[in-house]
Amino acid sequence: MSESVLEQFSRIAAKPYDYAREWKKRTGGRVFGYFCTYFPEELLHAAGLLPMRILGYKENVSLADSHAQPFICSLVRTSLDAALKDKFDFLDGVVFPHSCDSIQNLADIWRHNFPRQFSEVVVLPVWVDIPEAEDYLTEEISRFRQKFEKHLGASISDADIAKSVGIYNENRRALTELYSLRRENPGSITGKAVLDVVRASMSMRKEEHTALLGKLLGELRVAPKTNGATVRVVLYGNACDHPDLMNLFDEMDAVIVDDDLCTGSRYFLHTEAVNGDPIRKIAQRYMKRVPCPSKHTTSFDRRRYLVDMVKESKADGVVMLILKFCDPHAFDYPDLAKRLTESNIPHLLLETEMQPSSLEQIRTRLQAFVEMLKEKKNV
Amino acid sequence: MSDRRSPKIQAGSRMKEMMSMYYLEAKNAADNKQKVAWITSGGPVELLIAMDVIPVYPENHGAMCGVTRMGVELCEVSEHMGYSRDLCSYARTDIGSAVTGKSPIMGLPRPDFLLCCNNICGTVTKWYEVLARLFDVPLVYIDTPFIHEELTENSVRYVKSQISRAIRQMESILGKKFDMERFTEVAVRSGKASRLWAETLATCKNVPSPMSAFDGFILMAPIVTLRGKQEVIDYYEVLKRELEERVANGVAAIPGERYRLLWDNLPIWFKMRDLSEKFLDLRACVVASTYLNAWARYELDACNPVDALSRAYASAFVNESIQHRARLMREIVEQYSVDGIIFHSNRSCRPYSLGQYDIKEMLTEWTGAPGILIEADMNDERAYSEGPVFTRIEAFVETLKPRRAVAV
Repeated sequence: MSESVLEQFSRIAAKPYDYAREWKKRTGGRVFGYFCTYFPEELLHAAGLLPMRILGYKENVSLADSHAQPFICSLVRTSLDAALKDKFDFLDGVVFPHSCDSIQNLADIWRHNFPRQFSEVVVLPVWVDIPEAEDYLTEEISRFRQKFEKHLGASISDADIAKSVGIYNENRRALTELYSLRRENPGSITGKAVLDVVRASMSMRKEEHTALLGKLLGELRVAPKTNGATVRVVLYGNACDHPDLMNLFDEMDAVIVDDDLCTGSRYFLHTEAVNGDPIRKIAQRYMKRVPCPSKHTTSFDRRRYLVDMVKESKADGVVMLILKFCDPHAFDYPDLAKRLTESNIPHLLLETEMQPSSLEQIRTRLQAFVEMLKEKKNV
Repeated sequence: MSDRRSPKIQAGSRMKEMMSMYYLEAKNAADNKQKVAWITSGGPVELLIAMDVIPVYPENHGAMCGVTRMGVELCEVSEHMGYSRDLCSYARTDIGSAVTGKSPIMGLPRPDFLLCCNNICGTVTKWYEVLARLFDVPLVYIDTPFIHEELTENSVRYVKSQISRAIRQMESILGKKFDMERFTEVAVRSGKASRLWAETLATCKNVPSPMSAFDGFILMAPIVTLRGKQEVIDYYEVLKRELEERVANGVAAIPGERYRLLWDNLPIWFKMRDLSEKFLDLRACVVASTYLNAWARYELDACNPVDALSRAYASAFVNESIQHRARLMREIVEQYSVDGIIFHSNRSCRPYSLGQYDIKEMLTEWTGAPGILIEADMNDERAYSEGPVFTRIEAFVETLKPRRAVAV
């Protein structure tokens, strides 16, 4: 009768919006939807809200067709469609960070179509590794804080924000440990389960998630070592919310050892110690995290980062999961693929969409890729 | 007397000469020991002019490849390199040209550095990162935060600090000091050129309009590329005078002008001639375009040029919300007596296209002017199908009721 920790994560990850409704009923609290992991959700948490990442909707688009063309990514289209179909009735507000062109315009369309809902955009800088941008972002987050406080009719103290940052950091550290345990013993947990844990973290109050994750880490720390002869894969890409696709790796006896995904390690890597002005600390963290390709940096080289990740995790190949019509990723892809090839790292690009679609083509391509890795490794 | 076509705009030949000279100079830059920078169409070119750097525009060059029907061939080169067919067709055209040296002018001269301002899209950020790796040259970058509601002083400060950073970076690349006085002169000339361009476009408020947007798409090259130079001012003074004369003499861009249209988004470069013929047949004049107006908005003056430059470039047309764009289009509809709006739903330009459905609804509600979306692409012919586009345009124009009585 009792649900295992992994089953709980998997349930929440599969139906995060049901979880939001249930949380609301249970606590009487308010839920805010946010798009993209660049939103400083710590502030929402500090006000006692549940920040819920809106990550598309697994249904074919109908109503959004009269607002967004078919050449816009399915994350934007299915999210808007679900909102128009009133699937997000549990949301008390929606907040957008500035990330890519499509999320940017989605914010305007959303605000035009749901004028009565509280919504706000935090216009993050695109250039994230110059000090001027940190000053700018600190003030921009403060601007949001004022608007948000006005909406709430209550102020959020610096101490509350610092406390939430601490709670977030604890969750980030726990997720980081999950990844390092997985790297050491990848057979102990499936790739799907790990992404479920991260997806659940984007949907739950962080203290609840950390408590649950603590139990899982306890089990993993003592899990028996599995034999390391299977094929080891690193995942790269953007929003990967495809349990069926993740199950294929298991089916093919390939283990995931690490990832650079928007719905994976990019969400939680890097913490900033809680001291000084908490708003500035939040800004610093968003500037220093592993950047999304929609951001510009002078110093970060994703090609080197990915090659290093492959080497450190002793991976045999990289599977790139990229949402169709995602410009920032599509622009990075050729040079990234070239560098992997030059470094003798096999890689496979799989284009994904949010709506339900047949897995057969992906299965065939992935199968061929995994077989090739196995042959190369003589498994 | 009942000529189907109106006489050619004379200033066009002057522009062609100016642009040929400019490209010749750019192509020979290395021989003449001049520096070349590739710059985005919304970039603060005044900084380059003030430092005697020749600005070169991959977007303008991309359009040139599009007009001469080389777009697909060059896009395919990029696609073979791994660039998705869904990406911006200017970027694909340009990258294809950069690696093959193919184009109507045998490619652009190699850049000494790049200047990218993201006030037109996020695509240029990624595209210029690709170019910086391809040519192994410095990238001068300016991040202008998107404006959803209003331009904040925080944003202005951020952009200003980056302009100063850009100046320092260019000083180090070029090994010479930035001359603020010179820059002020350039900014003043640029502001003047931009105002002149606005006045030139405003002659199209007249019924009938002396110029169509299809003329404008060609005649705009100098304001896009060389603002800040005296010859641009001279040219637009001549053009404006000519258009005023046409107004005085009742010369219409579309003889027997019956309908007046607004065009949103970029032109379909590879179909310029066929589309303008179609509108001529329908006696419909495209009297304005949001794309042409984008360069009529740079308010620069001598008082505080860096501040003015920051504000002007941060407020670029596509760097503001769709609500703001709709409001500006409403002004155009009202001032230019527009009967209907054609939205070019541009497959490979997402920021300019996403939101057009909602803008269309807002405009119809506010002004009564109906609109249609036509599916196409600025440079990729494979994303265009002529039959359906023509049918849609014809059917749309037939339903329009001219809002002004016009002598036929």
